[in-house]
Amino acid sequence: MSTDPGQALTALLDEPTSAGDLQPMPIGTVPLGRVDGRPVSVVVPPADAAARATSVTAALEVAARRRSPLIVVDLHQHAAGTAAGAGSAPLPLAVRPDPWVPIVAIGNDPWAVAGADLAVLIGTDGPRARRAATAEAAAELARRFLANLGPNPAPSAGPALGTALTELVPFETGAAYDIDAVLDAIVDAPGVLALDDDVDRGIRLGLARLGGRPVGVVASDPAIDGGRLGRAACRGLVRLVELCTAARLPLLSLVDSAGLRAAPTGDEPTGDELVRALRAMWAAPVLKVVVVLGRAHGPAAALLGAVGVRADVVAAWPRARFAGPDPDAPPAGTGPAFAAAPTDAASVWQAARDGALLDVIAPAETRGRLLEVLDVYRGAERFDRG
Amino acid sequence: MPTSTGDATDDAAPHDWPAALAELDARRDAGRQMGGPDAIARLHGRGKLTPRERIALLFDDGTFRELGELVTGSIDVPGRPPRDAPADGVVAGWGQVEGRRVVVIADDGTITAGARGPGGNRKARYVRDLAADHGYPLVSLLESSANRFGSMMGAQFAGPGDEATDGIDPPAAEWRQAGRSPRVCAVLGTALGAASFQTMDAEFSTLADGTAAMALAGPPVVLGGIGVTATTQDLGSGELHATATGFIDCVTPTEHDSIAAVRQFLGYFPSSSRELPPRVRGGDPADRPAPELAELVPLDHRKPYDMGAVIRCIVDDGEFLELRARYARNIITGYGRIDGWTVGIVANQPRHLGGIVDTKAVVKAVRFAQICNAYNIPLVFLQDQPGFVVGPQSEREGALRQVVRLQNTAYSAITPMITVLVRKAYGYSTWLLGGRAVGADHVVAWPSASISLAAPEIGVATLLRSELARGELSEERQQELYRSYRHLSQARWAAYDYRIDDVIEPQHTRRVLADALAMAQHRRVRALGLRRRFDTA
Repeated sequence: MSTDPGQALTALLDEPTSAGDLQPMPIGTVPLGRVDGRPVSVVVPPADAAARATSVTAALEVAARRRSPLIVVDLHQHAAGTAAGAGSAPLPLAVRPDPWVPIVAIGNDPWAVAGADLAVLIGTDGPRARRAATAEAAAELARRFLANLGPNPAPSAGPALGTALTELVPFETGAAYDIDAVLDAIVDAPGVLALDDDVDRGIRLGLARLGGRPVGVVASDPAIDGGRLGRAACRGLVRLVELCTAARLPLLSLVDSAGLRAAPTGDEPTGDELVRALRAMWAAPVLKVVVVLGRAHGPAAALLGAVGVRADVVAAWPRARFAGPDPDAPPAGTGPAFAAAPTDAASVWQAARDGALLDVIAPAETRGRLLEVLDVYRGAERFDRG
Repeated sequence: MPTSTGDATDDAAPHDWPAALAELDARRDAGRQMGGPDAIARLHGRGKLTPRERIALLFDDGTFRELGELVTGSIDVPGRPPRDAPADGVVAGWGQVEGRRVVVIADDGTITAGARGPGGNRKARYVRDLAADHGYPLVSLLESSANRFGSMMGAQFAGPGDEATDGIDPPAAEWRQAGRSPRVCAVLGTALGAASFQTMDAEFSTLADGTAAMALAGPPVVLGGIGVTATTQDLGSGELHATATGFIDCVTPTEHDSIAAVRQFLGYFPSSSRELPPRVRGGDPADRPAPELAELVPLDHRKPYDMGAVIRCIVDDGEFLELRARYARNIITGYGRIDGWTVGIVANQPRHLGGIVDTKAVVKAVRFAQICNAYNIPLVFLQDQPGFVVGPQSEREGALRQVVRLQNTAYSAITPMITVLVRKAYGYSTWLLGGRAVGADHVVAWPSASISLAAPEIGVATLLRSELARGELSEERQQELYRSYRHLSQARWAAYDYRIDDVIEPQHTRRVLADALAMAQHRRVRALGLRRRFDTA
């Protein structure tokens, strides 16, 4: 397990940095570095719990003032629970900077990185975090995360996978396929950066670029329990929506889900978790673009934006099917932004006739249409409705 | 394949990708057939175009992206079998005009005479929200744009309810878009009710003469309501709106001309009030002298001339889009460019009523100035006017109200104002039409200009009315006083006091305006995004 913050920072920052320059760091000292040319604030907090909380809090204020992302590298071995803060002090990273700036925390104690927008644990596992084997791997995750939050479009490398989507996805609705390959064929290389290793395997939640523009991505995985969503998926979805809202990123949703996990798996979402996730999707002020690849069944269809949560754009492939919790029952909710309530759950054609979809598109059109939509909707810029 | 009554059953649905993609193509093709070959032929026979033909004229080649192409409505008339309405009577989407994105809603005259179904209405609302929220110009190619009568029969007419399910089309988005991104209406059919309201509220409107009309209500309602038989042309012809109401900016001979005018208008405007209008520099040098100006304008203030010719000498390449040209002809309003900058020009026309500012002229100028102000378009005033018209008729027409509207518009304007005093600059209207008093950025005068509260003749008649009544003022003395007032009214006195910026040679007017526009850029940038509402018509 790494205990040298200089190793991670040297791998991450554009200019080589020695550990001696950065640790221990006096409170209030927040060096400014660059990651791929973009200024970042850096803090390496001291080991003492109270001083650590003060140091991180001060660094957050400085980063917000600079409007630069904050990199927290905390590789101390904390006594059990002390990373949460001294005494009654809260977790310092639980405080949202104002104005918002992204926070990347690299550490080896889950408590020390809790609350970061990207939490990277070196050599250990933890909730809502990515695991990295080495400091260099942690730095690479941080770099990709920051690159996907960049405010400006970057040159697009094109998709990582050139395979035709009709070869990747069987036409039969309900068939399993590799959603990661589908994502690789749609978003820019190197693909989607997951925010969390611990999230439900039936869903992908992360950041990517599409035509050079940063987007949040959610996609159900039909190869895992038919793409049914569980409680971890609900929690992860809320986190992704919050990040997209803070960073003003459009949200791209690829839907192929047979519904929610059902009892007695133990992973079925509670009503409260479901409502929180639905509310987050409904209220998110960001551009929501949805492509229904296959099944859009029950509340999962709403959670993923296909129905009832005011998505800006909803398109579907010809193999798509809408249905209620019971596929033979009428569909749940009403349609998206320009929509009537679908009257025939089973048919994408009927949904298109009724205006429940913006369009039915061929898989080969997907990436081109998404690029056009991002261009037309200009990210999150809107006139207020006052 | 699509069926006439709805969807294919699951049994008939395609079961592999090639079949599904073929079905997608077939359904898109079916939607593009509109009302079918016979209906299209009938439309063409009336000298009209289909919505897709109109859209092809509007947008740059290959840039149109249709939305909701597969939406299909149903035409239900009691006692008749239901029929499909491809695209539910509305073709909508986005495309580009001169490389800039524009949103369009086009009614389909081949289906129920252009009346919309609920799905068509939802499409229209969707793209209208897109334009309003994201700041794109919205072009409505109006055929009838009413709701299908059958779909509106009953208590749902009480108003909008569930936006996702009902077909009623409230004007909230129109209101939100006002002053934020341009709304353009081309009346290409019979625009009644909501379509006429929308047109009245638009930043730019056209109407194809002979094949289109606009009115509050159509012949059946007029007959039923007040017992008067009238045709749609009687109620709202192009001639009526061109000359009597002035409601339409450009009444054109054909649909082609209407759509060409829309493209020209969009070229002058920014996509939204958050942007500056595009600068399009052609080959016309900013410092091009125009010696012909001195020949066009007689020094004798009583001799008329064509201010339109003056404008065309000044603007880039002589290109000028005149609005409401046959209404209130004593004032000219329109768009042109000077050194590539879009400008809104307000100019008195001495050829009609001596360029006097009457009630109609104020109505025309106020609306125009408010729109320019909302979209960061500098106003260029060319003054040659004897003041506001006075008298019993003018008072009965509510001249006071209109003067105050002009006053409030002028004083609240934050877009740059640049003024050239060509000849007569008399009365309070001198201030309100781009005078220094209302904060104009630059005011210059030709040597031919006279500035005063009133013309010398009126001044003498007012100040010495007792002597005139008693016959105590000789003709010789009157002429002497006139000469004296004319001398005092010469523009150079205002320049000596720095009440105007300069007296310029007419031939250098274009260069002076170009320099002033360049100087005013910082003001325009500072004002970007500030909302400036305006009223209608």
